[in-house]
Amino acid sequence: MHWSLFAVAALGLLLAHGLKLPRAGSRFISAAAFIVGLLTTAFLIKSLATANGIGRTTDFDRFVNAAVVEVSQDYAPIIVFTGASYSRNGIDPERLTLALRERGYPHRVVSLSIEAASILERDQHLQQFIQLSGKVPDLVFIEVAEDFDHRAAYMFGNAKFSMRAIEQFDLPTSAWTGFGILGGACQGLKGCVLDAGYLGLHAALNVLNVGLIGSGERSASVKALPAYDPQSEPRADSEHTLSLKSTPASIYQGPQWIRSFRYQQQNRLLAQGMRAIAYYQPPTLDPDARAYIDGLCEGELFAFDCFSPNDPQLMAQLNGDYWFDSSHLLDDGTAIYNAWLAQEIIASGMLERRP
Amino acid sequence: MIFTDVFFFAFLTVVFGTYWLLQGKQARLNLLLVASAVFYGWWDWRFLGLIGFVILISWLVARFAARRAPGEAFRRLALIAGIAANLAVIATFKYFGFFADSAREMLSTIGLDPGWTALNILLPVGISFYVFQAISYIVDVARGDLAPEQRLRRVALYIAFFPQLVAGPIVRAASFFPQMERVKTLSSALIFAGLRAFALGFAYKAGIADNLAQFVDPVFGDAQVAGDTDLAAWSNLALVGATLAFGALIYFDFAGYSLMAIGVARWFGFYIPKNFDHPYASPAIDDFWRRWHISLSSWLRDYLYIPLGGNRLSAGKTYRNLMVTMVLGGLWHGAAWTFVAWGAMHGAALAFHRALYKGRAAIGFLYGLIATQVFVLLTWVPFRAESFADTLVIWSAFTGLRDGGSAEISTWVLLLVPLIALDAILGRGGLKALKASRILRQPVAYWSGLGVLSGIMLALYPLEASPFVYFQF
Repeated sequence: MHWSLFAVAALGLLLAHGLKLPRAGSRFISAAAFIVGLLTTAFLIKSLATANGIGRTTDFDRFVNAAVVEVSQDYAPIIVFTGASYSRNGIDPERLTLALRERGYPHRVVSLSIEAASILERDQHLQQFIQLSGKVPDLVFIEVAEDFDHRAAYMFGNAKFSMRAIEQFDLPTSAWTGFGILGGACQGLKGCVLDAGYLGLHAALNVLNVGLIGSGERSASVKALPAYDPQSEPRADSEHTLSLKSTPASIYQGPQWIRSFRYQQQNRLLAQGMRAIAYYQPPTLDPDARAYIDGLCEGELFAFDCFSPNDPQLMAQLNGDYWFDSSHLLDDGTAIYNAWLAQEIIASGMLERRP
Repeated sequence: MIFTDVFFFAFLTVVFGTYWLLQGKQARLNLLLVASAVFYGWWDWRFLGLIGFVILISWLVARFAARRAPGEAFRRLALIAGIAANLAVIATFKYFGFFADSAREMLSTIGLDPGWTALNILLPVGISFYVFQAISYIVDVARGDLAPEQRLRRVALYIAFFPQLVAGPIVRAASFFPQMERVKTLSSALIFAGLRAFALGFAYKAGIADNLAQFVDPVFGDAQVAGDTDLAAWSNLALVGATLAFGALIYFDFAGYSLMAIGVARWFGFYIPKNFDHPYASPAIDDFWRRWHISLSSWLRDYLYIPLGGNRLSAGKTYRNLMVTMVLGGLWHGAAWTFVAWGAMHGAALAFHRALYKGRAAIGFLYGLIATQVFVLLTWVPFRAESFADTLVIWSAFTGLRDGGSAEISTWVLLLVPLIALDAILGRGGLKALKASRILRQPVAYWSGLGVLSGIMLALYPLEASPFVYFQF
């Protein structure tokens, strides 16, 4: 809560009381005056909110703040994992940190992972983490998944018109998402038209700051909450069997829009001072999903460290009661996967490699 | 579907467009009736049966009463039956659990176990408002002040008119029925009059009231969840600040709703009188009640206080009438003893004020203003607190004698005092003095001002909308 809320409310009252019947005038000039007034106000409010770090509060802010608290107490090099629900259940920063430190690597692992987060939304919060912590991560691990690469507006399948949905579709994210929809990263003609419509609405709501002050908070003062969400029991309605056989990898490139985004993100993150970028995907029972990241690791992401879970040894270890559902791990499964991942990261040499 | 809801804007657009496209008067009224049913059924379609019952009973009783000569026993009987049926509805759905619980607690204190368990009855939204409208219609007809309406759908529209259905203002039939007869034309004056009221109401509700819950709820607890407060943790200043915030919240919330209702009704060519007139600028308690929830206080005056004898009898009976009226007014707000206490305190204050200042000028404006508003603020405590024990804790915080906890709320809450003062000054013609209103009538200034106001309101719009406080009454 900020005094500016009262100042804005006072201005609102002044106008609301003062606006009575206008004299007749040109409709064109009236419409232009209205639009100019609206957009100027929107711009000023957005600028003030940005300068004060105010945004619509979501769980993502809580996870970012928890990560900021973690790194503020630790001067070790930072490794950030940024993913969606697969990572929220499948990456335990404490386990990974411990595993690395047991082998002599001082790094501190943090996770910025939340359900249904596209790479675009995750990128916004990675920047928020850097801004709030004042620290540039040493390494960034970016989750890749077929679902997100092939549906640019993945959020609309989960939570339309939510705070998270409105907050994330600022102009750059809307532009990238629009690029994706135009490139066919959507589901059928009807799906593409709907996604485009929702994108337009969400972008307008974002530009006009809907709910920004009323539902917003200073990001730094949002209560911290760790992202890792360990599960101990399988989901009630979930039935799953492990198929170790994967479809042979045939996809070596992601769709054009996501390739372009990843390319500019890689350049930007490296320019910000990050030493290396890696890609990964937590294990899933779907062999085609595993094959997708296999293909990307061999193709588009060949120049980067890329950790595909399609390792027969890992999957054999996970052949048991380790699954929350077909694509998310229980805590015991996370322990197995994280031990494997720590080993793979060390084996890749990326912790020691110079940029 | 509340007025700040996206669905409501879609609903309003469709109904407004169709209404003005229709040519016949009756067709428009029929549309409003259907729209009102959709609006009310949106909350819970089962509520429609109940409001339908209230409408039917009121229509039948009024027709029956009108056929008998004034003073005839049957006319009186019809009146009593009509009022009783309406009160039975409200008693069952709103007060049954309260009285059953109170009786059980009383019996258990003398060692008797009545053995019954309270029923968990769903409280239909707006029941207190539309039942009072129905009663006023029956009484007006039975008194001979109003001709009975022969067409059921007209009575239905009067009771169920969607802009004021769920939280008032409580409209009188004598004012509403003639408006149904009038042929309406869409004009820019009508649109702007509606827009002005709606915009101000939206600023009150979405811009201010919804942003105050963050000061109130952590301290007083969730109004819907009993026993979730921990007042000991809060400092004295936090408790005072939260009370101040609640006083502002309930005003901006309810006055905001009323203004939006007035604005929406205006867009359909109906005039609903104002429900609030800056009550926090009142220098005396009787003046406060002439400006706070005007439609309810005038209803209580006309249908309860005056029939009880008003101030025409002895001084003692006048004070009794004030107490009875205000206690029942308190109970109208909710089925809890804290509301009864709130009403009783206001009744006592009105009686005290009358005894002290009858026919004479009260103390000066400033002293009167301070005394009245401090009293009003203190009485908001039992109105909002979960129990009398909580009320006493918060009152002791006002004295500063309590050992407070360390939890604080933002001291910016004190800015509410100048904000309320600004609202009162502007609302009572302060802009005219500044001659700013003349500038704002220039088309460019008006439209760019409306653009700025829209920009502000959108930013203040709560994405997780709070229901209107008065819906629970």
